[in-house]
Amino acid sequence: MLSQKLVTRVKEVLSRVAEVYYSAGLNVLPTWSWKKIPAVRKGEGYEKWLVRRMTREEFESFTLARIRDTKEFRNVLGIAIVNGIGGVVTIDYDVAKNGSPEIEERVRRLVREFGSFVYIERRVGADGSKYGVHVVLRVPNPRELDVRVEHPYSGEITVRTNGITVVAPSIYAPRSRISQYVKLSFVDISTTYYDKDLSVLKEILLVLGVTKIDVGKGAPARIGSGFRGVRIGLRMGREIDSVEKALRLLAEVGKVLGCVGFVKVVEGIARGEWFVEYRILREVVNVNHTRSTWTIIENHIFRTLAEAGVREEIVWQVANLIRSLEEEFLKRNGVSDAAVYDHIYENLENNVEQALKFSEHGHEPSGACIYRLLDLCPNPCNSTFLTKLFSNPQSLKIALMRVVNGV
Amino acid sequence: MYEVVVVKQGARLHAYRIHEGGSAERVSHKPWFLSTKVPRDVEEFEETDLTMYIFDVGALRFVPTKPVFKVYAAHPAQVPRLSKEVEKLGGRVSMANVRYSARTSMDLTTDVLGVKTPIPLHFSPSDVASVMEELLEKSSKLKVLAFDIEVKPSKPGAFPSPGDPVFLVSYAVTDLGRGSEEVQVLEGDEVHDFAKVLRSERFDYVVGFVSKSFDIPYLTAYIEDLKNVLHPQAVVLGSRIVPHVDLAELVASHGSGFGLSLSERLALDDVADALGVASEEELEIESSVDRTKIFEEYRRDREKVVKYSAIDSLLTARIARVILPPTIMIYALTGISPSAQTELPSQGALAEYAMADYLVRKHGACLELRSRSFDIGELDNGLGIYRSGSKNYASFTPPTYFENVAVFDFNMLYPTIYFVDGVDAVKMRLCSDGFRIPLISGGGVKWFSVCTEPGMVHEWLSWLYHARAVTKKLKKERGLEVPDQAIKILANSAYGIFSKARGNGLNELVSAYIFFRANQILNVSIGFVEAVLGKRVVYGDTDSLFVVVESEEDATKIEEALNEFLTKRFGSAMSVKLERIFSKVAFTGKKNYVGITSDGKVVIKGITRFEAPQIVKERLEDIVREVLGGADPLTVMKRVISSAPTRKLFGRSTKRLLELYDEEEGRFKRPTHSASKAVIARYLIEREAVGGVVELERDLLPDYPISALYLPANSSIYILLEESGSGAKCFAARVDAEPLGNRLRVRVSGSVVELDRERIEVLALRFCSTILKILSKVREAIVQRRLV
Repeated sequence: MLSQKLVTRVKEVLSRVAEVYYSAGLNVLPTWSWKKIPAVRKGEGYEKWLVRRMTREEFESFTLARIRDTKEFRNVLGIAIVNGIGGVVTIDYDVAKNGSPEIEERVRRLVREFGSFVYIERRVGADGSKYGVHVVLRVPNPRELDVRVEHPYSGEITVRTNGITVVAPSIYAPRSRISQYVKLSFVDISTTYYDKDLSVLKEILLVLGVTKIDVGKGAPARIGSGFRGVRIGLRMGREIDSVEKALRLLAEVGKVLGCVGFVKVVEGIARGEWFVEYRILREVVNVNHTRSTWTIIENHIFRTLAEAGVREEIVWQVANLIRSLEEEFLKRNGVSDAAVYDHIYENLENNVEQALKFSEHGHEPSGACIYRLLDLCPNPCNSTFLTKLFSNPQSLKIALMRVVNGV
Repeated sequence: MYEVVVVKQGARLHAYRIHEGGSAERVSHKPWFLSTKVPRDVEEFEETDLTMYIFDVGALRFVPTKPVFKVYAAHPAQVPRLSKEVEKLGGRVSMANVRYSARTSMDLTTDVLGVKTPIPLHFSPSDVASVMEELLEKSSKLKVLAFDIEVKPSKPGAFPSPGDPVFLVSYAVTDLGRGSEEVQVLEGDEVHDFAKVLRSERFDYVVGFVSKSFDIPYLTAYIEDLKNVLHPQAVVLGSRIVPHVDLAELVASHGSGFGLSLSERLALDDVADALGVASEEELEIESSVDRTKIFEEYRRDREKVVKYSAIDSLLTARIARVILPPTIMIYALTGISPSAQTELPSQGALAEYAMADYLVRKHGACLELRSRSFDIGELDNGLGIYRSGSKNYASFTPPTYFENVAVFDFNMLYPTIYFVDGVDAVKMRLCSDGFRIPLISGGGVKWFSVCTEPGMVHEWLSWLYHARAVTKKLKKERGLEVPDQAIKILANSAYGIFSKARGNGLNELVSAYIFFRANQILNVSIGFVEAVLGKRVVYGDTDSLFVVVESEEDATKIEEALNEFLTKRFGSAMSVKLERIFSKVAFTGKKNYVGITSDGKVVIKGITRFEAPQIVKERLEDIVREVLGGADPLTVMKRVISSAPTRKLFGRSTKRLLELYDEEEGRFKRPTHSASKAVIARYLIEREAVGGVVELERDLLPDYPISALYLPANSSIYILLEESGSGAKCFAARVDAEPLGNRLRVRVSGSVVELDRERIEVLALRFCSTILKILSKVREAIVQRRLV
């Protein structure tokens, strides 16, 4: 058990570091001393901060408040950064065996050659034991980064572009075995190197013993098996002969399914407004694939229209409307990220084509409803939109009848 | 007092303190330097309480040593010999490189216009505002006489020699405040009255432009009454001494502090134009007179040449009003008087001497005078911040065109790093967990890890840093520019202390640390803007970022966000400023771009250094504006050339021949540019020394600028001799030059030819081929809009 004085001191330092990192554009979450997970109460979620930047208010009321709390959150003695937010990625080097001379030499070389400009930390036990090493860099569009490495014998190496990484000066003390994350580099995470062309990332992996590196841009997920789709192909769907009716159909489907977030998005489109933030959701979908919030929601829309038997040209008209609203969104928000433009001019079209083929193409897994993650739905349900749709094909019929027959 | 001058009278050097009101006090002063050993044949020395910090090249740090001797020399010329002798004895020296005029000034100055000097020794930075204001107020009352002469050469068309008749003397009287100028021109025999003019009124300064090497030797050779009166350092009028300052020398050393480019610092009208003190009409008259045939022009059109001469002295007076006040402030900051500032070997010497003097007085310490052992620079095979190109980041392959690009400049990046990181030449040490820097020696790279710690050097640099913050505030809130110019010139010179080839306190670790930390801060800032703010940084150069923005409001938001990040991370001292927004900008390479700002101003970087006809240089902004608007560069250029007066189709080169000599390497360089060859040809044509082989000796070269109007052709250069109705009479010169150490063996051969207008236009168009090529790239980028 750590003394109150030490706890207070640790919390002071953590607060200061958290503030610096938040100001540098990172998401910082408080973590427990006994487990490397965010300090949340039962039933609380933090997933939204895995995909979007925390507001200042959220940072202060959640992160800072819990770090400073010496009662309920007394055991919050650590902080974690969220990979992918603010461009950060972590090279996580889990050493296979503590104290191997080869590992120690690799780490020494790492610090010697890169420590002036790249953030490096290591977890060190109170008894002198040495654990894994984290190297943190900033890169452009980290969520699109797909790094595969051939692990060296000395340990396991993962390049994390999502999820959290516990960082210095956090204390980790499961079952009273105390260890602390210690900064080994000259710079901290807020001033770590911006590796525009990934050259430093590759060099660091080589120093850590990686023999084969495959760095690429992740492709949208295409899952071979999974949902089969309802493929209702109702004749009534042919009666949807305008964009306006298509949107009404979508809204009705959402209402029947009780999917508040989906309805909000569709009603927004009908009003001429697109407000969904573009984020890559790789970490909550599948670690080997990437997809964006826009792709997932577009797939909900196009797949629903396809399943309802709406004619192709109407589906394309809806797609064109969405494209123009997304363009406006980018202009309004000053987004110049090339990946987002790629989405508008390539992915969106692909999403329509796949939906019309009733092909599975990018969706969120069960338990991670996109609308909840984006704070568009307050309902505590674990089902995704497509799960609900496929498990309740009658919803399409009902919605179609409401729109076509005015029932 | 307001000046210390050293006047060479006969074979002796006399030092004078000059007080307000004109009284002068002669003071005995001997040159000296500090050493750890006493040379054998020295006349006078004394042991001091000082500590000398000598640089251990193996450990790469300064270590203290005692005893330290103050060694005196009978004459400044003896100092290099004595200091070499100390080094032969295994001793170390300090301050042996300080120019005697600066040495005398620092030793004899107690105050400047009543302000205790040097200011950093007597005042805290918070006092700077009131001290500077007081100084500004007092210096504004100083009275200045600016003068200029015209000489009739003994042979028409030749360059005049000392002793040739001076046929015009013009002078303008002004003060350093906001007063106007009164100008007078003495003609013919009246020029002899100039001695009376100097005696009749009380002036605090006499100034000229290239007056040390031209006006004064020519006047004293021609007018007997001025022989023992007019000296390069001062006008000696019995007990009254008026310091003389050659503004061309001040402009050459402090020019960057006034925003003058190197090419803008040589000719009077260029300087006046760049400083914004000349009207269009005045500039037109300045350029309309052929200076090489001034007497012929005077005979042909007396009124015009008299007016030209009057404008020369008027512009000189106005330049003095801009340049002298900050120079006087620098005097109060450093103890180095304006006349001594004109004799500094480099801009870096200003801060170097001032810091050395401060350390001696405040801390009883001196730093070894040493030569650089390592080179510093990015590495071709380096990684991250060490990789070649990190200092000049570009996200594009040129040529490339962008719209709406905001430029953010770091505020005093290098000084801020010094200040924030506690950089100190003496305290910097090798450590295991510090900042890693590479030093280059003998083609190999050695890596060192260094830790910083504030010390006495940092104390002086911090004083400057804090003082700059105060003067910036004065400038912003009160519109007082002069104090900020003075501190800026001194601060700009400070980085040079540690990075020059030889100097007191030279420490390669310090310069490498600053260099790579700056690279790191630039990289981190680019990362923040792109990864956090989601904006695209297209270009970054040392201390500036070019970011694509949506609007001015967007740019302001980026500025705020980046500053919040920088100040939280590096302290409140580190910040950027939104400098400008380009509505259009085209890059043709790193450090080469042209653009139009949102308020319609054309900005040209890089292109101006290329040789071109005068008309193209003068109208480059208009040409660039048209090309950025979509016009074809060749069409624009042809139109500009065809409508220009013949004279303007020639390039203009103004150089001192001494520029061809590399002082550091101690040898002449082979002139490769036609601009240099043109000046050599002009010089020899004036001396009627064409056809044969001539050897130019370094020590015998004139140190005044020589101008030539020229057009390069295949293997020869056409030097304009005279305009004719349908074209021009030129000397078609072929220049062969071979460097021979401190001599340059030159042969200029050729003949006088007549060029018609059509041929001149063809040559002029060919002359702008480099600029045309660049502008064609700009056009190509606009058409392709590779990146928007």
